[in-house]
Amino acid sequence: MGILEYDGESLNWNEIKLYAKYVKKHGIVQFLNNYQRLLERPVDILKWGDEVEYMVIRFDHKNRKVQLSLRGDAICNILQEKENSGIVNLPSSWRHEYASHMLEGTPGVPYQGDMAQFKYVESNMEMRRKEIQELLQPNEQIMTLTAFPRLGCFNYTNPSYKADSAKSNQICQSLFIPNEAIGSHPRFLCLERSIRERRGERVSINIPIFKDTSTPSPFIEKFNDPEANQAAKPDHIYMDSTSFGFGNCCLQITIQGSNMDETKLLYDQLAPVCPIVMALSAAAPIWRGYLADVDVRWPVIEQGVDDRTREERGLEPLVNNERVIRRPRFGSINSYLHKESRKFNDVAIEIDLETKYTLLDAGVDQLLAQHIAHLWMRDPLTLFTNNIEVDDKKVTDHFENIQTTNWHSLRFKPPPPGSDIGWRVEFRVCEVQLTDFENAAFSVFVVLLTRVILTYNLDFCIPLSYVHTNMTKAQKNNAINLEKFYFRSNIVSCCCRNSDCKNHIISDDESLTEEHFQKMSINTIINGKKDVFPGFILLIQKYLGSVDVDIDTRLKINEYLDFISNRASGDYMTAAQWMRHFVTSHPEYKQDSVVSDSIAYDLLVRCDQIQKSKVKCYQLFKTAA
Amino acid sequence: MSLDAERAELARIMVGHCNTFSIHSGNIINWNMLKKHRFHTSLTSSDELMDALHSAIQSWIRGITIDPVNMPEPQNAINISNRELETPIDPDQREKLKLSVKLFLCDWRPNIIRRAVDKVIQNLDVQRIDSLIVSFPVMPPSTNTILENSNISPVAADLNKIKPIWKEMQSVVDSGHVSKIGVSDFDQAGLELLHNWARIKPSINQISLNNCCAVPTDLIQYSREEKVELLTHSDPPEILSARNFQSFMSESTQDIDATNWTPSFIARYSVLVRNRGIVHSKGYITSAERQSLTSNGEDYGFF
Repeated sequence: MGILEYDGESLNWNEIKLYAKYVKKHGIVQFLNNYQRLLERPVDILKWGDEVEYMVIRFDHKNRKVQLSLRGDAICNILQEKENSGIVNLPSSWRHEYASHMLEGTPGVPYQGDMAQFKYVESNMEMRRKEIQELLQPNEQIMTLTAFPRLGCFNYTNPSYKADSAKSNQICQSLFIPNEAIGSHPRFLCLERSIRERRGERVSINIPIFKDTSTPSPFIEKFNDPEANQAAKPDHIYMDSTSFGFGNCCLQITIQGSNMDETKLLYDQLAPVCPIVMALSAAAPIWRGYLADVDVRWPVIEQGVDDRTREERGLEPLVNNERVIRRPRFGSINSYLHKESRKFNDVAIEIDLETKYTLLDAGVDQLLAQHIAHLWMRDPLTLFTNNIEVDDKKVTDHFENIQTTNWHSLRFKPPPPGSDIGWRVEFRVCEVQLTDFENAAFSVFVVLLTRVILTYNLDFCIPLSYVHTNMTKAQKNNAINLEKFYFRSNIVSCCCRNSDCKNHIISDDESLTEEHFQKMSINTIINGKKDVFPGFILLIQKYLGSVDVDIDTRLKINEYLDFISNRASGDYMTAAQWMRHFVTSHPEYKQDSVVSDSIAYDLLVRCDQIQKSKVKCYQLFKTAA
Repeated sequence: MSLDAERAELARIMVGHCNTFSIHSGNIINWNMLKKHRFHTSLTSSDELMDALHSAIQSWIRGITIDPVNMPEPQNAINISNRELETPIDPDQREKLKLSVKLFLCDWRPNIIRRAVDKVIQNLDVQRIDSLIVSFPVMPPSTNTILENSNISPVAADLNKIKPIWKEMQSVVDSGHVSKIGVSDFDQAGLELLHNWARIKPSINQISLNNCCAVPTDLIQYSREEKVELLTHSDPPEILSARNFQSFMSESTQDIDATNWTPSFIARYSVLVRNRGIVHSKGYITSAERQSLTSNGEDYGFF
């Protein structure tokens, strides 16, 4: 989660503010120093990797209660000992995460470009899980659960701490989240504080509550806090800390392109895929002990990292701030990068003009300059005393500072200095699934899709405003079965990507009409529909038929594709739908949207059984005998 | 006569005069996708091949030049290649590519191996094939029933026919034209028989996906021990029957004597960009022969 190396004391927002322009300016200098060198980079091979986030759970079987164990940090420290002692090429690699109940693991070495690598993904994930399990205490469990259902509820952590919303509390002034729940790494504490201080008030997250037959209507919670009562919306679940967002777990996939151009292409092509995968992987329907009307973590994080002031949000006239900013720092991407998709950039974005001109003057192309200038709209949120003055030729700390505090559905990552890592695109929307099988399935699926896009020269791009609409739809309760998404129907652009070619279906000056894209269900997009759309599964199968795949790998991939296919067709439930079903059919559930401690306990006991394959949950997935 | 009709007529005459015909589909990777009706799960490689043949021959006919002054001499052998779908291999990039060929034999003549390898190398303008898998001719149904009732591996039954072909496979490795050679649809017994006898061992056995779920453990075990790569395919038992090829020739060129054509081999090639998992190109080279013509071959003088 961003750079974790640091030196010195962390600054508070008022201090960081003074260096904001400095950091941003030097960030661009660092980028440009790197950029010139990168243009001559030779062609890179395919390398990719997954990042899985885990939470540590503690069961109290006697009292039928489940809590988050705050030992994630401590466990991570132990796991990192090998890496820190300098051993290389370890099978796994570990990182601290925002909340102290979390940690993140990746394969130690990236996967490479031959098909046989796909059969190792799941076993590496299983191995990581075992590594953590060896360090657990009795009654502790490790889980790849997107959102802990009782996050922010009374006594939800172990050890138990009290939330302190007093203004004197320097870190987390939340009604629900204690300071100790935030990871001990200064970066995270700094983020929690800076977001609030810059914004000028606590973040306010309002997620629509699922209205069941006995849910109070309107649903209004009364808090012992005027700011909260003001900010909480009726019929919504109110949350007031960045931790509610960053305390979730997700699955991220990073893919290296062969050069900058191909990476931009993949970035663009994956953008319309993001809402589809989000709907397929939905796993977070319960927030702060209530059933919500959304199935994913996305809106919670989006609202939870919103550092815009009231003026920037258009709620008050502009006095101290320069302009209104339409969107928070977290969300869907706001512009395509490859010149092929330029015509689909129909979303108005704010940019830092000075940054844009600096980049253009240095020879960076229009679209990339615009993209970076848009990221550079944001102020740095973390800074350490000894990391301010750095050698711009050797490090890219200030660049990464702004780059990694813009959290979008995809991230375009330039090669870091002093390494042979190339240009990469990071796919960030996937919710983490309960089992390694499912997480491996999603990872392999996305990577295979990129090979298919490159092999067949496919074009999924549609106007970005429609992708934004899709992202909103994908969050809804049961979006996977109920919603229709705008998707490109003519996906074969041509045999080439030469924009002068006359065979292109849509030329630059022609606009995209309904003939080129239509509303499709997830089932159509994944499984295809005659005369409408081939379906991702068919395209991947065609691709696999043209490459050499050994039998073990092919069988494994077929299992993954069957799983995704069944999710899309509705034969298997998403984790979100399954959890909803579990809660609403629980004997103690009172049709009032409340997920009590004991319901949450039973739910997580079942989740634990599923992830250990002790219970075959056919409504989630089946595995080959 | 319209220009199109003239071309078609000339094509018919040219085909009528020849008795060896080879068709290179060109790179069908993207062309394949452009046809919307290709988005069908039940499409087999046979369908793909037939499509490619039709497309190549139409492209050839379209490209025939009518020059009344310089009429071409009747040729015994015609080689056509779909010029509209060429994706040449850059020699400087050859090392980064992997060229794999699956050779479907339509009869048991060993000399087809060398001919097919030469054809592929010539059409793709390369020096070498990275891997060559041979698919032996389909056994006619009547002889199969004997095998089905016994426990003899089909390979064992045909071993005397397989050996000369394998010798040719070894020879193309010896001459440096092919790096790795393999077989398809061999069971463990057959693989072991060939492996024990061969000087250059098969390093690949490509087995059908359709039987995938029940891959016998003895085959898996043996392959692991002898380092034979077990790859997969979803090709039907016969990718191109003589009858289908004859209908194709008759339909597309109005060839009067179409029923005497028999395909001798189909080479399917796939060029993969190593380490990036992207397919550079894929295509079919089909070669067919006809028994000697009747003496009533038409001559050219219709202008």
